[in-house]
Amino acid sequence: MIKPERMSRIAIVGPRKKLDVAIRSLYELNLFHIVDYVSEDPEVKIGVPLPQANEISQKLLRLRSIARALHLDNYKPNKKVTVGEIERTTAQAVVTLDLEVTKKIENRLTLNSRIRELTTQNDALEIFREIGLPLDLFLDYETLNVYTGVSQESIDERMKALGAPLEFLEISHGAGFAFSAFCKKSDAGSVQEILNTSGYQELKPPYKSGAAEEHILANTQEIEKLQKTLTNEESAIEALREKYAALILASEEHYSIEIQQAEAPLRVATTLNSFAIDGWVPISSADSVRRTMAEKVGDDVAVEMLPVPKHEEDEQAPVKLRNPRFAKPFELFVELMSTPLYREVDPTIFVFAVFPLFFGLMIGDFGYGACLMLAGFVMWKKLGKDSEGWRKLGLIVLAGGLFAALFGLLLFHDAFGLPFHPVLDERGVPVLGGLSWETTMGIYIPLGEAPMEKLVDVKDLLAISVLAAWIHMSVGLILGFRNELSHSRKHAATKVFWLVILFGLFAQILFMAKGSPLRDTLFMTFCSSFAGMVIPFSGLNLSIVALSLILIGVAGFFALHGKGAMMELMEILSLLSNVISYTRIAAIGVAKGAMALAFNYIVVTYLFAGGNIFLIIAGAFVLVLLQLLVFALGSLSAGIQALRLNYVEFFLKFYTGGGVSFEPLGYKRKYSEKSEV
Amino acid sequence: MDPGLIAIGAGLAIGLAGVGTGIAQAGAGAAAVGATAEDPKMFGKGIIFMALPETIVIFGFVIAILLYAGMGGFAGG
Repeated sequence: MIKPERMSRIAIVGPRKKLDVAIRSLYELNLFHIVDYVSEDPEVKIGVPLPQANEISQKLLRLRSIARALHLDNYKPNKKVTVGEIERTTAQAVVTLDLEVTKKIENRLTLNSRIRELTTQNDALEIFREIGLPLDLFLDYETLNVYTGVSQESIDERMKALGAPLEFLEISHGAGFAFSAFCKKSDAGSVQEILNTSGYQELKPPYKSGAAEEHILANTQEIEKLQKTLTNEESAIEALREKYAALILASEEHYSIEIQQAEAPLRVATTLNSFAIDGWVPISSADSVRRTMAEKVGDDVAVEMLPVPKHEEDEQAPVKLRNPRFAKPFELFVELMSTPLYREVDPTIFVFAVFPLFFGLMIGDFGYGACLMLAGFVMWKKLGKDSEGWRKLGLIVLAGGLFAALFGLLLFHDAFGLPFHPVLDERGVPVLGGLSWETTMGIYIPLGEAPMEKLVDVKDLLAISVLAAWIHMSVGLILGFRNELSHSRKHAATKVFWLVILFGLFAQILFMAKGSPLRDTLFMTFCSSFAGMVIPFSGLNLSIVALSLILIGVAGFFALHGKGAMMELMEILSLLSNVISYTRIAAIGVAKGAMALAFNYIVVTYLFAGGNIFLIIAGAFVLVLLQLLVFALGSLSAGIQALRLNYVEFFLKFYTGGGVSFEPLGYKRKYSEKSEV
Repeated sequence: MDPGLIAIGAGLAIGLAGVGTGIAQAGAGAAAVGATAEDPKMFGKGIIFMALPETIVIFGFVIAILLYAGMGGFAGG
């Protein structure tokens, strides 16, 4: 459980004509992590793909291009297609589709571009219609130049100021102006200059004769006709899509699996007459690999376990995490960081134990906890149907929400930021007007005084944080000790000294802290035997024992590392900051609780109190919005902070990561299914 | 000492620490997002680098709480 699945290295050797069957059987088994053969020997070469590979990859190429043309990326077919049907029908379907789809898609392109062309023409014609001259008058003069176009700014005045004999007409068009100008060729230069500085866009009449209106009418009719044809083509494509989508997706999947198998020999060592497949198998499944090979491939294939030196196994074996079912979702967080090394402890079970606890403490609210559980449930059941990631995340949120609700119900006594009973500070003054479910909403929840009030017992929350820091990091250091033990005794011993220093820091913090009943209990539990041995130092109690423990640790570093210990010494400060870092549990809890209570206070006192019906409706709306804000911000930050405490403060005590994940030969069918023949 | 001054000190402690964290996270966060965009496997490491400076504001929080308690804010200090 604590270490990844143990692996054993296996070689499968047999006659080359059986390679095909052997690979197929391994794919069916879904247990064999193949090690790519790197060719070194001229006699033993990398295998060649199976003969059908070429044909399959051509099929795939065409299937994929059809799938792209039909936009099948997000298509969810409602039935699976059997392999038998795929093999019977795909070839014919591909030929038909290839022809039809290509033709229809080309048609669609042509239609679209013609429609675009006509629309642009109509835009231009509209301007000529407004100018009001027949189109042939704009063309073919020997002594005149004609300019037509659109411009952002009016050029009427500048044209008139030119003083040259000029026919100029300007009309407003859209956001700018449209104009036509007729001038003598000899005056063209100055007209051109004005146009160039006005940022104009030239327009040529699209037809040589006739009136603009007639052309517009004809174009509009043609566009309508084309649009009809386009709709027909679209629905024909849609019909093809509906008819063939399931088959195309299933065939694409099936042939992808086939091509993987056909190309697998590229990872295998072969000689003229034999093959050897090298790879890793979980030790517990080694026998079933042997049995399957004997049954399906035959007696002339040998399955041998290869003896591997331990350090080589540690370096090369793939990592398959092995956790009980309830902890599995939390593998998501470990994989997100990095796959553990084969020789390392797999921290999933610890993340499982700690993450919901920290998350729950930070949220600590029955209402938000219940909402989170609901959200987690939806993620798990709805979104998780198609995605493993969502399924796992949903379960994690569900667990976190459960703890948040429990802490809210049993420890903090509040829901949606509103305490069950009025919160009194220790002078007996109600906090924030004494809002509560009991006084504000008239709902009495028969649970006595809260064991801990977020806004009053902050020091107790700090004490919880420090205790969590000590336990969590101690576990981290113990795991580090275990990881290093087989690797380097010296490094393992360093972890022990870190444990001693950590306890010293923890005890010293307890000595300095004051004013929290929980701290007093912790102090009596851990420090009572040396409570009296203190040196008072400017108002602080320095414990002789705690400081001695830290010094023992330091001495240990020097004994182990000599001069190198200086580096470790610096790390004591980071260990201290790690401990303080856990107070984020208290910080998020208090900040979120205070934010929610403040919002509730604002709405209840300023919007609900007056009795004005409009203010009350507005208030209810604002209240929901603000609650959503607190809920979203709180859940997000609590999640990230709980994750961070695991990643930074905990993992860095023992974790290296960077292992190779176990990826056995195999496949999952989503759209196709194996037919029983 | 005047409790008002202590309260201002507590506010400054957490406020300035927050500003410091913000400045530190701006750089780390932008780089982390960039790295994750290139390789989604960097997400975990990105979160770590992103969350590292947050300890600064936690220091501010602790000091603020200690000051607040010292002036009798929780009445038990």
